[in-house]
Amino acid sequence: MPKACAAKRKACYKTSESDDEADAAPGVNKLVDLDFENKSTTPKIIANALLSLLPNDATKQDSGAKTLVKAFPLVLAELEARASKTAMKSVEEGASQPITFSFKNNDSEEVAAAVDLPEESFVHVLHFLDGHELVDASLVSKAWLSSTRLPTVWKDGVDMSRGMNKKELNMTGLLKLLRRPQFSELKAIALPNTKMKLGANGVKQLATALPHLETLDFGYYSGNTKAKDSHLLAAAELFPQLSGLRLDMWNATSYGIASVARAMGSRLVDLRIRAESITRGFLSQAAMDAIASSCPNLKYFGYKNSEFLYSPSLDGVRGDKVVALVKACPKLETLELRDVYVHVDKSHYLEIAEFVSERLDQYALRNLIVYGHGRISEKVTNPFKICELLSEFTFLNVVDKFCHPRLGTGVMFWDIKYGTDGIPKRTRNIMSL
Amino acid sequence: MDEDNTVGIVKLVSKEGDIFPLSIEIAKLSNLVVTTLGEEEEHDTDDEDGNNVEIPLSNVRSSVLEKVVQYCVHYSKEPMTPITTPLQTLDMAKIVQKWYADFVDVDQVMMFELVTAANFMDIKPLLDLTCLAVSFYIKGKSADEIRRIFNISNESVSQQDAVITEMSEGADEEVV
Repeated sequence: MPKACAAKRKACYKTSESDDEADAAPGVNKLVDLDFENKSTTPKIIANALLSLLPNDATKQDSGAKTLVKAFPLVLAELEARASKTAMKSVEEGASQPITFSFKNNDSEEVAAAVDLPEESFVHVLHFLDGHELVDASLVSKAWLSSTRLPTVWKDGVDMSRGMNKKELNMTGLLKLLRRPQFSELKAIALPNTKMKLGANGVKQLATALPHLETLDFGYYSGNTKAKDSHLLAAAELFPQLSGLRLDMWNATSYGIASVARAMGSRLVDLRIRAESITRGFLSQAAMDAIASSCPNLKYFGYKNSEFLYSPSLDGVRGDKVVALVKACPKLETLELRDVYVHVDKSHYLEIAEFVSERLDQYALRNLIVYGHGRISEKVTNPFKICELLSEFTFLNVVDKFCHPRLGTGVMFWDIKYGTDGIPKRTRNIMSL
Repeated sequence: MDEDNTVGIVKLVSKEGDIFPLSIEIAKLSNLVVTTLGEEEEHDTDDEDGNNVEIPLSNVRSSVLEKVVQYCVHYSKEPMTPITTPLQTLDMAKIVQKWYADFVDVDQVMMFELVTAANFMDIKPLLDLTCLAVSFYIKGKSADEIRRIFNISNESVSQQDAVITEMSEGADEEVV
């Protein structure tokens, strides 16, 4: 503690000195004599030394005095910045002690073996856990707590929508949370599944808190953030590393999505959109065109249709548009279409499969994820045919007829049944080709 | 520096002094081996002993080193599917090939020693695999269960009760 104080004082001393030297007359240098280690150096003495730099008759109106007074907030700001820097450092380095694991034989009280795991390895273990599992792990012991707070554990992303927090978060709470050191290098975040209001400045505040963010999920799979077009555009502008956007169309419009696609252009790598029929939010054909023509680097395109009050005329995710998107985006690895069964049918899937299978070295598409509550099978008959054409597909997932071809060995089907609780139950059937 | 040197044998020496010879090409999965060989080359460029380097691994037990060698040999024939996060499934046999899933079917002490060995020898895929396997011990368990599994004494916990209570309140309020 005394050491830290001394260091802080020194820092204060240095900063004020340099600030003053710049403005005060050269030659007057009594500050150098001040000894911050010495306890007899009271604030009063320091004040006198500083005052002696000014002309004897100087008042608050004197320009030198004004500069001097203005220097203090700078000193304070610098000290605070250093403190948070030190805190981050100690989190990163200071806490890196091996974590000891001891093992007992059954029923015996004696420790049979103990292994010290270097913290970097333990962190590697932790990064395979998801948010709420990390919360549990952090409660095990002090050492575990300190490890779970390292930024490297959280780097890959935080999914707030999957119930890490028991209490509903508002924007202020979320921002407070994200300022914790462990989130400083966060690359992906899914916003909480609560009625959180983003507000006019929400995205801006998030961008300040998470400068490294690459993927921002406003609620593609589940969420209630209801991002507006202005939020999407702000995100595109304010997150320097952003390459992935996931959103629902409660408030966001096709026009907004098209604008974001144009604004982000080749920077956009991952785009997942959930339609919302209540607000007539469907992706338009024009927006599909905009995405296809502006975003050549797209690797993941996902669209989840809204079944309730579905309006086929508004839904612009047509088979030909999907095919055009695939053709325009050679880097596309995954195409995910959920409940898209009116405008896209087997002819389109086959066209995609044929097109890609003839150009395997130029087109990256290998994952096709198609979901639909029992309606897909007639529309996408014969997933086997697609498998044959695209034997390179690593993941062909047609739900209610889900198959996963491992080259030549057979096909695995998943039959999906929805229980009364709404949770799909999967039964696995394996069938040889 | 030059690639001609790839035919040689490297001898990995365990804590007990047992020697595990391994072809350099295979052993290069370990970045520790790569760096050590690099240093050897710098020191004596033109002698043939460079093809027969001994690498002491004084904190790796023979039984662990044997597993590591098995891993490296198998990796050279069938490279492991890279492990990516977030995990799509919790079935080890679906994340990596069956051989690798069977490979980590060992007791906990061996598992942790494999992690430390992989870390020390800097073998990235082995570290991924073993750390993933260790994370499966923790996944979905409460703090109490984790303490029981790893014999983290309740005594040390009671000393920290203050910290922990504060922490769990924090978790209620705001997450970790």
